[in-house]
Parts: sequence; structure tokens; C-alpha cells
Amino acid sequence: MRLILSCLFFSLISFSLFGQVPNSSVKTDSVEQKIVEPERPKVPKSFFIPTGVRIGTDLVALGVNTFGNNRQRYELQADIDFHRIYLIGSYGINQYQSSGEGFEYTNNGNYFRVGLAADFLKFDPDHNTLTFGLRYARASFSESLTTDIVSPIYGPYQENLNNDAVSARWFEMTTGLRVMVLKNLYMGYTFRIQLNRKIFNASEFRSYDIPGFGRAEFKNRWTFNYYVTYRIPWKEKKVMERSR
Amino acid sequence: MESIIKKSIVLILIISIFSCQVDSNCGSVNVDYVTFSTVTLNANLKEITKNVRFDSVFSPQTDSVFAYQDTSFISSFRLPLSPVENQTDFFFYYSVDIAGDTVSYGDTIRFTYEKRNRVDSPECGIDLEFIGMDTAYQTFDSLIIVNDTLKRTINAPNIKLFIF
Repeated sequence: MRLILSCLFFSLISFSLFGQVPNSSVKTDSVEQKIVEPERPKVPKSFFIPTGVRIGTDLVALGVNTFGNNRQRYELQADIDFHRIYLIGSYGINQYQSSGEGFEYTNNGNYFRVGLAADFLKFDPDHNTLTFGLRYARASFSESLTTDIVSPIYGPYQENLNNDAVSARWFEMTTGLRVMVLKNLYMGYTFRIQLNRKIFNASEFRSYDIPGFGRAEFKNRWTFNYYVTYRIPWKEKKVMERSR
Repeated sequence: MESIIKKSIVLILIISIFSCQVDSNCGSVNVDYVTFSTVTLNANLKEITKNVRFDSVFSPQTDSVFAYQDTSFISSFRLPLSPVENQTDFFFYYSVDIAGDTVSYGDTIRFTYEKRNRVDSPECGIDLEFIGMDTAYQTFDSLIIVNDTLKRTINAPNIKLFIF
């Protein structure tokens, strides 16, 4: 039911967005008009020289660390501009523990993401960005599970299980916004759709949590980060002039 | 430019639908029991159901007795595997009607398997999955492992016991 409602909701949004796109096939006049598109100005090669690096951290992780009891996660993110393409990388460390009826679980590991994002704010000299991008992500972690269970027929039993040197990989489609709030200080979100998760070397029990990804039972999921970043510039950014 | 942004947003929204998966609600599909059906072959070598009456069924791994002096005849039943070890033995003492006479038998099966733990959630606890079930030893006339997967969603029996 939830999936059907989601489909309907997203379908409505999709149709309404397509409704905004001008329909180029509409015939306005019987007289054929030959439209000559103005030649697009070429981007000078010097525009592709990086002008600075942005380094920041995930505030959502810091919030979870402060207000939650189970997880400690810290993430650093950096991006560097090549005109309107950004090379983005992030690295995080993660500790997670959980317990419930008859079990205790701990997880310790790190993760990184690397990828490219295209900026669609073409004429902004302040490095405000609205990006769409792709990432490759990988996590390395170890996890342990201690069970203490009573079978109604076979009696009590305990197990200490360890998955050492587990790794996982997944891909991400992202969209993000960064807005300069003070000189060289930016804030903004990244919305991630995490896809095609695979786990390697989880030999003793099924992985429960993946650093940087979350619950391992899902192959695909989405997540949200809110970053504060500081830009260290070494060159003034040049932008194309808006054509009239 | 605008249309590229719009198409990208639509693409992300559509893919996000497929990224949404329903949270678990303690309803594991894994089960801890093996299902059996008892069969024999008729004159045309066709499989037919064979009813048996259990005098007793027990396992040395537990003090529990799974059947004791049953009065009814049955052709399908299930028995729980031990989560404590990687093997479970069952001793069967049972009777069948053959041409109007009641004949008693005693047979044994030793199942071997691997256990795979999975944390479902703090609320739901541990979900135990039995995988790679096999028989290390058995004394029935014949036995077929129809499927070695112990899941609630599978309707077929795990084991067919042939009694002649």
C-alpha cells in the first residue's frame, strides 16, 4: 500500500514537472520559420583550472552523535572545482552498537565515497552550487554479535560471532545544494540514493549495519546529509557571461 | 538547462521509489522446523500417501518428546531442529497398516546443517536461518530431500520418507 501511494505521489510530481517543460512540438504558425541558434561561446581552457577546495563535515552525523545513544559517526567531505564539474570525496569513521532481547551487536569501521557532480548554477561567481552527481562508495568494517537465547525445546545457548575484515560497496546518485552563508562558508544538503549494495566476507553472520550506508538488509535505500563546508580559494573563479 | 534539471529531478524521484523498501516487522520467513511427508509406491510405481501412527518420536538432544503413543494416523508432520548444535538426531518408532496388519518400525535420521544468525532489530531480536540442510545418516527405506531451505513461504515438504 505504501509503495502504491509512493508511486502515485511521485507520478503526480513527475507529470507536473513535465507539464512545466515547454512543448517544442506545438505548431504556432503555418509559415515555416528557420531558427538559427546563436553559436554558444566556447569555455576557455583556463576556466577548468581548479580555483579552490571546499572542506566540510556532516552536521547530521554530529547531531546523531550528540542526541543518539547507539552511533558515533564523523565525516569529512572535500570537493574541488573544474569549471562546472566537481570532484567530490568523503571519508568517515563509524562506531555502532545495538542490543536487544538476547543479543549484543557492535560495529566498527570506516567508509569513503568518491565521484563527480555537475553544477547547474552556471553564472554564479560565489560557488553556490546545485549539483547532480554519481558516487562510488566503499566501507571496511568489523562487527561482532553475541547471542544468549533460550530455545523452548533445546534449552539455552550462547554464541560469540565475529565478522572481521568485512567490506561493502555501493553506488550513489546524488543531488545537493550549497549556499554561501558567510564569506567562504557554505551550508547545504546532499540527498543520496544508494544503489546496488554488495557485502563481502561476512562469514559468520549476516551483516546488520554498514558504515556510511546503514541497515545492511537493504540493497537500495536513500539518505540525507547536511554539510557545513569552508572554501579555501587560491584563484578567483571566472564564470561565463549570461547571454542576452 | 531547465529541462535537464527537471529531467534529473524526475529521474531521481523515480529511482528513489525503488530505493524505498519496507521496514522489517518481525515477520521472518525463516523457520526452525523440517517438514516431512510419508509416502509409498503403488503397483504402478506411482507415489501415494502412506499414513503412519507414531508410538514415539524423540531426539537425544532434548528431553522433550515430539510424539508419544499417538492414536491417529498421519502422513505429514514437522520437527524442530536444534539451534544449539549443527546437527539434530531423531528417533522414530511408528506403525503402519500393511494389508490389514499393523507393522511396527524404528528408524533414525541425523540432520546436519549450518546456522546463520541475523540481527532483525533491537525489538525483534535475532533471526536464525538454517542453511544447507542434509542427512548424515538415516535408516528409512528411502528418503528424498525435496528442498533444503527452511522457509515459511515454501509449501512443499522438506523431506519425503518412503515406507514400504
